[in-house]
This record gives sequence, structure tokens and C-alpha cells, in this order.
Amino acid sequence: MTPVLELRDVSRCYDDGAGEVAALSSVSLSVAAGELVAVMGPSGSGKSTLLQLAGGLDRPTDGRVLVDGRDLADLSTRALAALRRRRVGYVFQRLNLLASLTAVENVMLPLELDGIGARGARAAAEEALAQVGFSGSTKRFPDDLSGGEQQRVAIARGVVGERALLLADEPTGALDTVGGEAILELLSARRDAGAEVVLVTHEPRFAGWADRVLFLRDGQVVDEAVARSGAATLASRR
Amino acid sequence: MGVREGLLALLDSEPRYGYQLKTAFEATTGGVWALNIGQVYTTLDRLARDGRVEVGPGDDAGRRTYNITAEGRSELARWLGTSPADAPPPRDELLLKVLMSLGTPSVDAREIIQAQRTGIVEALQAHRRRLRAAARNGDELVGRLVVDALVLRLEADLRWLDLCEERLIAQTGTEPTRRTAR
Repeated sequence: MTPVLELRDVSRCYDDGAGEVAALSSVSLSVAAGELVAVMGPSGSGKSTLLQLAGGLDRPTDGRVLVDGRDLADLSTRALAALRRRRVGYVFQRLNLLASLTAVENVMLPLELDGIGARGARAAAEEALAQVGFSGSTKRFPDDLSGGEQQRVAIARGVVGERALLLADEPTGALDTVGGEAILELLSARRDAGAEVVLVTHEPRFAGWADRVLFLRDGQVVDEAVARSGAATLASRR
Repeated sequence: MGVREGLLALLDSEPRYGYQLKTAFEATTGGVWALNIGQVYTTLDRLARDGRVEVGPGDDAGRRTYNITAEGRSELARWLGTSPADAPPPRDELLLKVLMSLGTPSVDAREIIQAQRTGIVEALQAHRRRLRAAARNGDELVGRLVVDALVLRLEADLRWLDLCEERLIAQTGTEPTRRTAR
């Protein structure tokens, strides 16, 4: 089966004035369907760059990024936008909630952009909000929400609909431990249902949920921790 | 905690037989402490000698019930209320490995730190899987608390490794990889 996400020998360089700095150097990564991969590393190691490239929000200096077997560099702007909308769910550090829309409307937005009617979109959005543990009225505006509530809305918006690839950058940042675990439960459930999940985190406890953990240092993958499959794992994946 | 304190805690809720105590002890400690029945009876004998428990008459099957006494309850309360000695083990294996690697020319200390980090994350993954399995068996709270404790200790080790690496970089002044413009 073609992996939904594949990075082939990908590099991303920036000019910082004093020369070219490689934020990412020759990273290859293939994520299988039903796999949760965590990326760890110190700040500046290239974690967020990797996620931006994987989601087509940035372009590599070298190498290829493939989603559904298609090189993102070959897609028109329009085709890239459609692919991102339908196949990829993002939860980024910057939450990017629209202040003029209510919590539920923020979550409905990607579905409506995709042509789903308001009624269906609202039902799916309410369900996603419930799954991330959002309580209270979903008709409140982002400015009236706590940091943790805003984060839950952003996560719900990232996972709503049938996304095959979920990209999450420190999704548990504003949440306490139990709230963070609920989000990992949710991402694991999506993984069990066949989605690919790439999670950037500096929280070791959450990396423990991953099937595979990549360690980045200075833009390179320096090691990998793989969960040993046991009977329990097989049972959980049916 | 010794077996002694564990048995007193279990007897505080209700009188029990020796074998019941063994089973309850293992369930309450989340599977991290297996007892043999001999240990249970030796400890019960000492508790009876010290007046901490009373031994009831045997039933038809020859099983004797143990009851906690007022003295047993005060020993239990004293033990629960005392803070454990929380100084870290002076000869922590991970600490020693990293310290030794710093002075060993044939290895790169950062590689050793990374290898230890990978090992710890693999242990975290294994705990997480155990926890999911425990949740499926409906055996959630005790399993969760045991794994939480193990996970938090591993996290402390990982954070320490991160700090080791940062201090090492600060000292040796390693810069991010620079490439010449093409």
C-alpha cells in the first residue's frame, strides 16, 4: 500500500545572513497507514520544519515530499490547496482560530470549504468538539475561551472529517496531563481507524504513545525508537 | 514499604485469611510485587507476636482469620504519615554511564546520551502498551497509577539527559550544520 506521506531525502535551508543554515538535511521518512509517529528533538532541531514540509505549507530546498504518492512540487496551487483540505488535518502551535467565528463554526469551516452542507458540517463539528473534551457552549467566540479550550477547538478542527494524514505540532501544550492524554487517546483512535499521524512533541510521556519515535538533532534524524509489537498491540489493532 | 505495612493496610479494611492477603496484596500493588505464601505467614506471625494482629480460631477448612488491633492501626498510621527518604540513589546506573562516557575517548558522549534516550522512550512505549492492555481488562486505576509513577521517573531521566546534552553543547560550542551556498 502506498504510504500517505513520504519524505525522500528532504532538505530545507535558510539564509540567516551568516551563511546557509540547514533546518533539515536529507531526511527520509515514510509513514504507514495506521501508524503514529512522534518526532522529538531540542528546539531548533527541525521538528516544526518537517511538519510544515509534510503538510505542503513550505517547500523543500532539495528532495521530494509525496502525499498519496504525488509529489507536492508537481501540483498546481489549486490542487495543492484541495489536497491539503481533504486529506490533511493540522494542529499547529499557532492556533489560527478565526476570531469572528464561534467555536463550532471554526470547526465547521474546513468541511464547508469542502462543500459539505451546513447541517452535516455542524453535526460533525459538534461531535469532534465532544471527542476532544470541549465542554460548555460551542457558540462562544475564541476570545471568550480559555487557552485550553482554544486548543481543543483547534484540535477538533484538525481532526474533523475523514483526514488520512494528521499533523500535530505540540497539540497538548496548553492542556494539563489528563487533558493531554485525552488528545492522545483521540489521535490513537484515528490511528487505529487507519489514519497516519505525525506528532511533534517535547513531552516524553506523549511520545510513549507512538509506534515510532524519531529523534532529530541539527536537522538530521539521529535515532529511532520502535515500539515492540506484542500480543496486546495486535489485539488493539484487531 | 515492607510486607508488614502492606498486610496491616489490607487488614485495616477487613479481617482476612493468609491466602486472601497474598492475593489482595498483589492486586493492590498493581502486579509489581509478587509474594510467596510463606512470606505472608512469617510476617503475620511477627505481627501477632508484636500485638499488631489477633489470630481468630480456625474454620472447618483450617483457615484462620487475622484481625488488626488498635496497636496495629497506630503503627499503620505512623508508617503512612512518614515521608519516604527521597534522596536519589547515590549510584544511579544511568548517571554513572553518562559520567563515564564523558571521560572515555573511544565513545562520543552525545551518542551515549542518545542511545540512553532511545532506550528510555522504548520503555515508555512499552508501559503505554501495558496500560492500554490493562484498560481493556477493566483493571484501570491501579495499573494507571503504577504506570504513571514509572513514566514520571523515566521522564525525569529523559529531561536530565536533555540537560546533559545542552550543557555538553554549551561547553564544546557545537554549532548547527552550515552549508556553503550553492
